[in-house]
Amino acid sequence: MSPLWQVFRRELKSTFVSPRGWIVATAFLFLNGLIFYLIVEAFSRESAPIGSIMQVFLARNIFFWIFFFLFLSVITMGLIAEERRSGTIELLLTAPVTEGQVVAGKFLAAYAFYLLLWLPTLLYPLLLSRFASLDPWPIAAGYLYLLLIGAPNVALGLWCSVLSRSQIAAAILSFALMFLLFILPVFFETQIRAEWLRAAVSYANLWNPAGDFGKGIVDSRLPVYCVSTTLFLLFASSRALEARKAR
Amino acid sequence: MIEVENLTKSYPGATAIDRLSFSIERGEIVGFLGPNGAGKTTAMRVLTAFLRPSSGRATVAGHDVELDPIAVRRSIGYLPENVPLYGEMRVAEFLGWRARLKGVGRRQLAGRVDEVVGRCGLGDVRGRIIEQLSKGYRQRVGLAEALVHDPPILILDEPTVGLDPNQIRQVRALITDLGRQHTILLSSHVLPEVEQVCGRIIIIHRGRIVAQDRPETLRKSLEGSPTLLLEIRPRAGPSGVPEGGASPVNPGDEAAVADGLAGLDGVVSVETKPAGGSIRARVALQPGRDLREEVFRLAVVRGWVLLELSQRSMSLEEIFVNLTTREPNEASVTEALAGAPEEVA
Repeated sequence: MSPLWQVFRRELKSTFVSPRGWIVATAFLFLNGLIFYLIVEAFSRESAPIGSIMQVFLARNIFFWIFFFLFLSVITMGLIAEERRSGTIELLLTAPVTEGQVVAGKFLAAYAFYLLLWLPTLLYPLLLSRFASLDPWPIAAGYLYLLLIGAPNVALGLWCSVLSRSQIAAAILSFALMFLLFILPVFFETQIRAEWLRAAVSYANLWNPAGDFGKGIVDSRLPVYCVSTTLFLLFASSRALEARKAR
Repeated sequence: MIEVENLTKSYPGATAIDRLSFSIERGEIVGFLGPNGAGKTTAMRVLTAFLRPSSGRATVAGHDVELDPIAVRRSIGYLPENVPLYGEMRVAEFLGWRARLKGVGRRQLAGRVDEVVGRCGLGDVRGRIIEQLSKGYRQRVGLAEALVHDPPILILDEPTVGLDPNQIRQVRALITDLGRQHTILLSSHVLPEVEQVCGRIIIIHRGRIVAQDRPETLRKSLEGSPTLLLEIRPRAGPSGVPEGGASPVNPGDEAAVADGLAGLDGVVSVETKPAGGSIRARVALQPGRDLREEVFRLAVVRGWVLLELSQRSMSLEEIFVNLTTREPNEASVTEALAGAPEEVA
C-alpha cells in the first residue's frame, strides 16, 4: 500500500470524523436543495425557461458559481495550511513520503469529498423522472461537467493551501483566484483582438461549455483543459511544498 | 550511523547551525545539549531531511539527506519537539496508520503496533482519541510512533519536556533500554538527563559545537581547575560594632582581600563582592591546585576571620552554564578546556 494511498485515506477519513466535513455537506445539500426547488418551481410556471434543467442550473445564473467556489475554498483550505499550523506537517514530511505523494494524496481526498457531495443530488433527477419525462443525456453531461471542472479548482485550492500559513488566508486566496480565473475569460474573451489569444482564452472559459454540457453537448476541449490545468497546479503545489525545505 | 560534516543552515538574517561536524557510531546514545535556540531542533530537522542544509553534508545510515531523503527517513524514527499528533485519531489507529505510511507490511502490522503499545505503556489508552490524552501519554504516543517501524536510528527532540518527574524517569528508562538496539540522538536542555542517559554529550551553543565528549571526561577535563569559595570578615572580632549590627565593609578592606588572595601562587582570578559585614570571594585556581592551607595561613597573618572556606570542582551543570552563557571575550572556561582532549570550537 503506497504512501499516496495512506495520505489519501487519512485525509478523507479525517474529513468525516471531524464536524467540518458534515457541516460542509449539510450546507451544500441545503443550498443545492434550495436551488433545485427554485428551478423546479420556475419550470412549473407558465413562462417556463427554455432549455434543459442542467442548462438553467449551470449557465443561467451566477449563484451556482459563487456557491461552487465557496464550497471548494472551504473543502481545500485546510489541506496543508492546517498541518502547518498544528505542526503535523513535520510528522508527515519526516515519514518516507515524497512531497508529490502528499500533494497527490491530499488532492484526491479533497476531490473525492467534492464528488461525494454531489452524489446525493442524483436523487433530484431520479425524483423528477417519476413525474416528468427527462432526457437523461443532458443530465449525465451536466454531471460530467461538474466532475471535470471540480478537479482544477480543487487543485487551485490545494495550491493556495500550500502557500498560506492559515486556513482562512488559504480560503480567501483561493476564492479570489477561482472567481477571477472564472470571470476574466467570460468578460474579456470577446474583446480580445488577436485571434490566437482569443482562442487560448476560450479554453479557460468555463461558462460557455456549461451551456453546451447542460444541453448534452460534450466538448473534448474541456477535459483537455481541466486535466492539464490540474496536473500543472499539482506540480506547482508539490514544488511549493518542496521549497519549504530550503526555508 | 550519522555523519555530519560542516553542516550549516542559515535563514535570512540568522544562522541556526554553523559548520557542525560530528559523527555517531552504531549503538551510541548521544545527547545534544544546549539552551533553547541553540540550533538543536534545526540540526535534527536537517538530519531527518525535513529541512535542506544551506551547506555541508550529512549522511544518515549511509544515505545523504539531500540526495536520498526517503531512504534517510525510512531508517529513522523521529520524535519532533512538542509532539505534533493528529488529534482526531485514536491511538492504535494512528500507530497503525503511521506504520503503513512507513512501509510496515500488512503481516507485521498488528504485531508492531502491539509491541510499541506495550513498550511505551499505552495499553490503557489504545482506543482513546489522541486529543483527549494527557501530555505524558501524548509524549509516549510520539515515542511509540517513532519506534513503530523499528528503525535503526532514533532522533528524539526534547523527549522529556513537559513531563512530571515520574514520567521523566519512565521515559529515561525506556530510552536507556532502547539504546541496546538503536542508535539514539536526543536533545535536551536539562543536563542531568543527558548525563544519566547518554554515552556522549555534544554541547551546542549559538549553532556551534562548544564541546563534545563523554560526560565523565568532560567533567574530568575541568576538574583540574577547581574553585575556592570564601567568606571572610576582614577584621577580627566586632570591636566597636554593636551586637547584631554588621558594619558595612570598607572598600579598602575588600581590595586588600582581593589583592591578598590574588598574590597567592596558583590563583588564576579572584572575584569579590561585599555581603553584609563580610566579603564573599570566588577564587579560580590553576588546574590541580589545592590552596586551602595557604588561604588559611594568609587569613591568620592578615587577621581575617574565615567564615567559609570550601574548594570544589565544577559540576557539569556549571560547565554547561559557563560554556553557553559566556560572551565571546570571556575566555576563562575556554582556557580551562584547552587541555581537554576533544576539539573545542
